[in-house]
Amino acid sequence: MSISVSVQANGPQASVTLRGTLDSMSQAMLKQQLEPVLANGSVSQIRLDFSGVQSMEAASAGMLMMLSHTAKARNKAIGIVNANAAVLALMHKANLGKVLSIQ
Amino acid sequence: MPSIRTHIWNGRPAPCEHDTLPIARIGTVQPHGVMMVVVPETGAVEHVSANVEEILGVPARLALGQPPMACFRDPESAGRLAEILRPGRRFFDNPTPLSANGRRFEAICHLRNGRLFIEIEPYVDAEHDYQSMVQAAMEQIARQTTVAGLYDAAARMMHHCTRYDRVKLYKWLSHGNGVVVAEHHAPDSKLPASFLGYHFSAADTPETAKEILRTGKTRQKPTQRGSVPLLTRGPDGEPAPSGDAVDMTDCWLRGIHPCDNGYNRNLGVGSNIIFPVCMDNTLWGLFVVHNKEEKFLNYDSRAVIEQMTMMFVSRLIELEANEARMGERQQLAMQMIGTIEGAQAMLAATAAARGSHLQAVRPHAMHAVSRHVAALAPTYVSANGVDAAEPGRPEDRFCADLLRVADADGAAVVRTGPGGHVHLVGSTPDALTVRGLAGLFGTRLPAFEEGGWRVFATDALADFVPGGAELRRVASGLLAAPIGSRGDMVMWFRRERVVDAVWAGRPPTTAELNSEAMFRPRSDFAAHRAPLAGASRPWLESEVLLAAQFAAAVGEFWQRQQRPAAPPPAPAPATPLAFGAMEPDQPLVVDQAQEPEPVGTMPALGFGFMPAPVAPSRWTSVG
Repeated sequence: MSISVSVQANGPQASVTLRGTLDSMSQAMLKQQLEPVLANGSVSQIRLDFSGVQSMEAASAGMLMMLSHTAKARNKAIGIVNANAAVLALMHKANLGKVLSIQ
Repeated sequence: MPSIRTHIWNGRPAPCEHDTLPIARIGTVQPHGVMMVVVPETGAVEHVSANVEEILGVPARLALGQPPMACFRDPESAGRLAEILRPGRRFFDNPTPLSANGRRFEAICHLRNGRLFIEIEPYVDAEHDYQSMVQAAMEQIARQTTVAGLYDAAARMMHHCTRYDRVKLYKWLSHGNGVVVAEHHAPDSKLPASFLGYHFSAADTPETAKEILRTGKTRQKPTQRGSVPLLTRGPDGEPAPSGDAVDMTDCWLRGIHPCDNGYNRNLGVGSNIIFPVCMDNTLWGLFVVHNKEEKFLNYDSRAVIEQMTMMFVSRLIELEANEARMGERQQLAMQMIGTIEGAQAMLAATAAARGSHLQAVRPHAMHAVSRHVAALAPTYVSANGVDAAEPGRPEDRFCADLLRVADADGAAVVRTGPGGHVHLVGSTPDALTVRGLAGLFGTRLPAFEEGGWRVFATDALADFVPGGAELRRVASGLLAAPIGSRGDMVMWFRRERVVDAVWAGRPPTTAELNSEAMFRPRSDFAAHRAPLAGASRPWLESEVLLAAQFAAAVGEFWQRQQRPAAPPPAPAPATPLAFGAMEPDQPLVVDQAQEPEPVGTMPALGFGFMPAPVAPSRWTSVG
């Protein structure tokens, strides 16, 4: 398995911790795991903790953009935190910061 | 861990003369912008393009060795450049607006190999603002429910953002050739010729160009007017060509090879942009955007299209998996593992049962169960002895399911060790050939490395393994995954699918591929009909992943069976069966004399014992 996801919701904030490699084949699992969070009306902020993500590939950047689109449509904000240097470099190359918040 | 896509081998079989062109280190820059390569530690310009005087009004010899601010007298621009040069910066909020010589520019910055690249492009207005473009792209991509619809929508959106004359979506096929799968024309297109459905030869893209495209780097060529040299200080302190000193892989302004310029001119194209479509660091295809006249697209528009390309890939993976019913096939694979586990439990229980009335029932039961799952069970019963194991028939449910899991025309399970055999299902090469193929992993075919996905797929086996027409006919497509690490393997095959292809120009012959002709721009794009043979339907990434997971799950089960969890029940006395052969890798053989009735007479022993499926967590969702 290339990615594992754990979700903790605390009031309006949901924290999603990812571990592994985010690639074309793991994106379906991430989407599936995030669906309840996106459907949760009391959550307004979703924090994706990338500290355990070793690498990420372009299709996953596309998936994160689509996710941000869905979240915005449901009045939620998505932010990415703790990405490592390699992942951060890919995010910047993809101009992901123009679509969602990266810290 | 390498992505699943790296296990799909569909490259160009024959090398081409122009494969080693030093494209990344071409030493030239496109004429519409200025490139500066800066040493971050000193802030001094180490390389600058020769057109710096023409565009910024500063001679190259004065720009070299100075900070980039020396070319910008406007204090606001100089301040922004100073911020770019701030020590420790790794990322840049591109683009940075600048002005010089009474003109507006945008600077695009990146770091590579310890050097700061500042590319200064002319400012042009975008067709739409960034936010509205990205919003429209997201909505269009998200709305699509079919792969074909996605292709068309993406091509339409490309035109929406660029307003170029023609957009082509080009998909790579086996042998490294490609086909245009979608096309969109501007209503007033000055390039009315359509290439929809046309095939393009693998030789059109040198391997070094593909290497750069694989990084996801967009290639914009606003003009076909050639390039200007990149300069650095020579030994005498005067500007001299930089040659191949600078790796421009990530540069927008990287110069164009004359052959490439000629190719586009011969197509009647004045300006083009190529957006690579990458799936897990491999190249799926390209969006190729053409304009009759010279045209320049600003950075934000290119950024939106790059993002749209990423969204396109993400949605494509989903839709391809939906259309291939991968969710159902994953469930099926899990049920099959459950069946194998259940069958094994039943065999063990039957073998251990006591009572004389079981003497007759036992071989019937064991064979009935085994003939369905024999190939993939840790122990198996063969009615005719291990050397003559019956080929599975596609009408048998387990065999049919084995084919359905991979949507294959044929399958084989290769068992090694004492009594090893090849179990064939559907349309396959003969057992000897299958064994031969299995033996090629680690030599002609890649070894199955530990620590990653252990799987191999190709749509064009003959590109790697010489074989006759019969092998190509039944096994152009091969998907193979080892079970455990002793050489056992499951293979799926797809038949050759010969495509009656229309090519954009005659593809080069092998002799031409290895000649100087490859350094001359292609001029023939007229429709040329020639079959595209030697390849099967392509394997999807999700199918390859499922195959890897399936084989790994079978292997795990076999391994579990080897561990003595509890003392086994005492075997029944006076049994005619070879119970000593109940080790996982050993066959369990029914005597010829006791061959049971065909399974059709024993419906209760079919798949009615389906145990609970294996834990879903073992599987990565592909649906």
